[in-house]
Formats: sequence, structure tokens, C-alpha cells
Amino acid sequence: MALRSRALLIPAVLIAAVLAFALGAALALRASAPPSVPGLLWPARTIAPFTLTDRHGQPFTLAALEGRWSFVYFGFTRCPDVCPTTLGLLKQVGQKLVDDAAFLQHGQVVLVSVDPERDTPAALDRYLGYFGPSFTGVTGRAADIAAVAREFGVVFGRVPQGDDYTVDHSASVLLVDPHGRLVAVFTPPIDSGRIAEQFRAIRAFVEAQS
Amino acid sequence: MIRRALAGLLLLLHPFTAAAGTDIPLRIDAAYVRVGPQAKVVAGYLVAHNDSDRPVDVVAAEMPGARRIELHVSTLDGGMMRMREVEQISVPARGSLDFERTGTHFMIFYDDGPPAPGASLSLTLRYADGRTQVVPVAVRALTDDAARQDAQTP
Repeated sequence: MALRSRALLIPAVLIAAVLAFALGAALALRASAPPSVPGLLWPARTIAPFTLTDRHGQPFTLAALEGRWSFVYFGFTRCPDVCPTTLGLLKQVGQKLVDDAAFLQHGQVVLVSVDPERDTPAALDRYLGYFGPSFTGVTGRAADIAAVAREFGVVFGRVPQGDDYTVDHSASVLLVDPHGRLVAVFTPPIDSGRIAEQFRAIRAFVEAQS
Repeated sequence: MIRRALAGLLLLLHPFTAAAGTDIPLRIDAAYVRVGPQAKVVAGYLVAHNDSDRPVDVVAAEMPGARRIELHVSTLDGGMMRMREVEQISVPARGSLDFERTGTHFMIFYDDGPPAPGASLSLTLRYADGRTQVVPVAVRALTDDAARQDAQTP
């Protein structure tokens, strides 16, 4: 009897071990093999806490990025060419995601000003009112904005231009997931159709991980 | 004196005088000012065709109602977008320049806000050789423009 149960036990343990290994491998594979979506950043990058000011003059912290998907763009309101073009295209992205309830209900576009000296909350409010309520603008102390830009891997710099100045800045659009993590970087040329498709794939992947 | 004035008047009135000769430095297509969220500064674009054997250089531009117009080029440099004022915009001999596709634009400053979408404007282009040219310019809304850009994307 004892011998017989021992004889049964060994194959059972072996089978269990093989199953456990297979399961572990499958889980590891799922976590380590994200879909080949251009722009996807995986593992996601966590963002350090920050405090900036939104277009209504209210504090804007990491919590404002949680519980929703956010497209984040660093630019400024006096930029006449690239910034309005990009924000206009992001509005198009939103219109293309009308069937995506998760984006439509809570999704937002966040313009982080790289020209906080001129981009007051009131200036941002006027500017972003054009694009609609799902657009918000963020400004703050120059040092705080520089710190947030570093967290997002974004670079910018002020450049004198006659008796005025302009600001060079990264042209990428960033995607933050509902956990407040940076999950994608979309580099130019910015194409709203492509970004909408990439968003769907990235959202499906990120949601499958949690 | 009167005869010269009359001859000048005839020249002005005759539509073929300008079109047939080499007086027109550039053929201009699709000139428009894009109005959007900004009140003080907007961008203008066009497509210029140079049918001559020499490059044609735009050195300045003016428009009624605009306080100032600067010539600008945005370039993407290692992921960084850089916008610079330039002295001139050169359209190559026997070639074309599409402002929008090359980051080239007029940066137009307004004191009292830009015109409304649908308005028609006249842009005066000044060239390095002293010639000038007046071209009609449409005013379009940024949101329409994004839709148009999308439509062009394959």
C-alpha cells in the first residue's frame, strides 16, 4: 500500500512540477512580450509626484493623471505652428476614439507649458477653451516644470529671438495610463489615425497586465 | 505726363500684362492663414512654384490688419522642435516649396485678434530683387485644417 501510493506520488509531483513550470513560463512570457506597437514603453515608467497648476488655477498633481488615460504634450501658447497642429491632431484622435468608452468618458489631453513665464493659468484657459473641456493646460514654477519634463524624458530650452524668445521643445506626444505611468511615446510625424490605433492596442495590452 | 499716367492705368487694368510676362516671381497655390486658439499670433502657409531659372527669395511679407509678419522655419532636430526666424525663404529655380510640409510659415502678429475663418485677405510678398506680388489668402479654422491633414494621410 505504502509502496503503491509512493509510486503514484512521484508521477503526480512530476506532472505538477511540469504544469507549474509551464504556467510560470506562460505568465513570464505574457509579461515580457508586449505587442510590437510602435511607441509602447514597457515596462511602464512610473512618474515621481509633482505639483503644478491647471488652467483653472487649481493644483495639478499626479492624482490628476490617475483613473484615466492622458495624452500629454509639452508646448506653449505662443507657438504658432507645431503646437496648434499637434493639439488639433490630438482632438482628431479623440474624435476617432468615439467608440472607445474608456477614453471618451475620462480621457484627457494635457498641455504642459514650457513657457510658464507667459503661460499663466488664464492664458492656458483661453487657449485650451478652443479645443474643448477634455483639454487641460498645466503651468507652474520653471524648476517644477523642468523636473516634470525630466520625468517624462522631455527636453526643452529657451532661445533668444531678437528682443523676444522662443522655446525649443520635444515634439513627441506621451501617453499616461490610469495608474499614472508613462506607457508610450509617439514621435513625429504625428498622425491621428495611427495614434488612435496604437492607443487601442496599448490600452488592451496594459489592461491585460493588471 | 497725362499720357504716361494713362499708359500706367492701362497697364494696371490689363489682366494679361502681369500674367503673361516674367513680372510674377512665383505662382502661389493654397495660401491660407490658420486661425485657432491664439489671438495674438497665427501661422500662414502657401505653396510656391518658381518657373524661372533662378531661385526666388521672399524677404518680407505684409498684410492689412496684421501688425507684423515674420518668416519662420520649424525643424525637427533629434526629436526637438526648433522654430527660427529666417532672413529669407528661398524657392528653388524650376522648383516648388510647400510651406506646410517643410515647416516653413509666416508668423503673423495681430493686436486685436486674427480675422474670422472664411475671410479673404491680401498678402503682399516682397522679394530680394525688389519686386512685390500680392496674393489672395483664405482664412481657415485649425479644426478644419486638422481634418484636411488627416484626409491626406494614407
